[in-house]
Amino acid sequence: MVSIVARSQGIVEAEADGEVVALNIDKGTCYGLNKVGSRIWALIGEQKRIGEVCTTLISEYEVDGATCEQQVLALLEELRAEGMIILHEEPGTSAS
Amino acid sequence: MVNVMHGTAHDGLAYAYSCFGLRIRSAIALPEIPESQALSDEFVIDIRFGPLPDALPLAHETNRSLQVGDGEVLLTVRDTARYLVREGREIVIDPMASSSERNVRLFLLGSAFGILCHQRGLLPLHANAIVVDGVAVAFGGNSGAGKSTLAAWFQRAGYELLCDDVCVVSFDEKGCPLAWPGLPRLKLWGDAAVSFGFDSRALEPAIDGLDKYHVPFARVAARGPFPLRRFYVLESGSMDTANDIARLYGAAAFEAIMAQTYRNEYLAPMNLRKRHFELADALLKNAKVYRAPRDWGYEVFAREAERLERHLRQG
Repeated sequence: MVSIVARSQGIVEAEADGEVVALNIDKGTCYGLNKVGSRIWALIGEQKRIGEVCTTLISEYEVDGATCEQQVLALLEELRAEGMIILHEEPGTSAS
Repeated sequence: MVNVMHGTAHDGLAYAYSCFGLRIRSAIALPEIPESQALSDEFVIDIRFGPLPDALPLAHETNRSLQVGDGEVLLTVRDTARYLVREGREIVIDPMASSSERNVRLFLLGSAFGILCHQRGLLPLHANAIVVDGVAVAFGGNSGAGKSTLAAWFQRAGYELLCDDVCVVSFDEKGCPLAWPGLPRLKLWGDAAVSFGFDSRALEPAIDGLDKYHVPFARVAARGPFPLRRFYVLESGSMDTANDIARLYGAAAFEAIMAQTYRNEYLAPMNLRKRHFELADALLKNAKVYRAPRDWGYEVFAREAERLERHLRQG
């Protein structure tokens, strides 16, 4: 079970109109994050458990746990495909 | 490594120019820049002739036309010349035997100056610019988007032209973007030049063998740079949708600046993507970017230009 998320190396970011724009330096592609995406980006400035990210978001937004997790996973998958983040398993949890 | 190439005396660098906010001392006459200014001690850019190798010995990024070494870039233009652009302050030219002087100057003032701007931390936009109420408004767009023809229209409508083709932007100590006067000529296709009342036979060709000409315009250079406040990306419109001029935000605005950066294909080999992104950020904090789709054709050109003019006059 993938559970840890961290920003990739080689990303430079800027804030534009209250939202984060990130550049993948190797690929030369820009990725714009909406308000919630920008909040998630801020939360994973240091690597985090996905569960922690969801817990924080649930406390900040009116959203139930299942919906939050579903949407966070979808966004993280998109960011992973863009090369913006790395997802990996928490050490020692794969057997459980 | 620091190599302050001041040269001795004038080193045969007989010509002095001022362009893009740079002082230029040159061994090659550059009639594209008509105003020579008095020599002073503040020379920044030296342009000289010299023998150049086929390749840089320590190039860490290499393809056939562009080699990037430590603080220097070697550009090879087939049948024309090699250009070594060094430390943002010197360009050495090695013309090839068969080359025409005009084409040697064309790539000097184009690609080689583009590299030099990137080295100096300037942001060269593939755009022209006009001056409106003391600020610069730039117009970009892919080649063939009608940038120069639009500039000719603005000139006839009484606006001062700042530059055509390349708009060099620097940043002041607060990060505010400043657009500098460029080469004081428009590059127009023959039919466009004729439609603006120029006699193409009396004009200087822009490049050998093409129906494209230099049309000079009066310079506002002496008045220095102007704050860049708006940047319009010209696009061809579509018949089915309203061709509304729309502001670009966020990633779309960044991507527009990247796409409209002059010689942006050199940024990755020169390892400058990160800094370029930071320059784009500084630009976007101070200037609004719009996409401006337009209808096409001579019969609607004036109408579409007037629409742009009305838009840029709005607050």
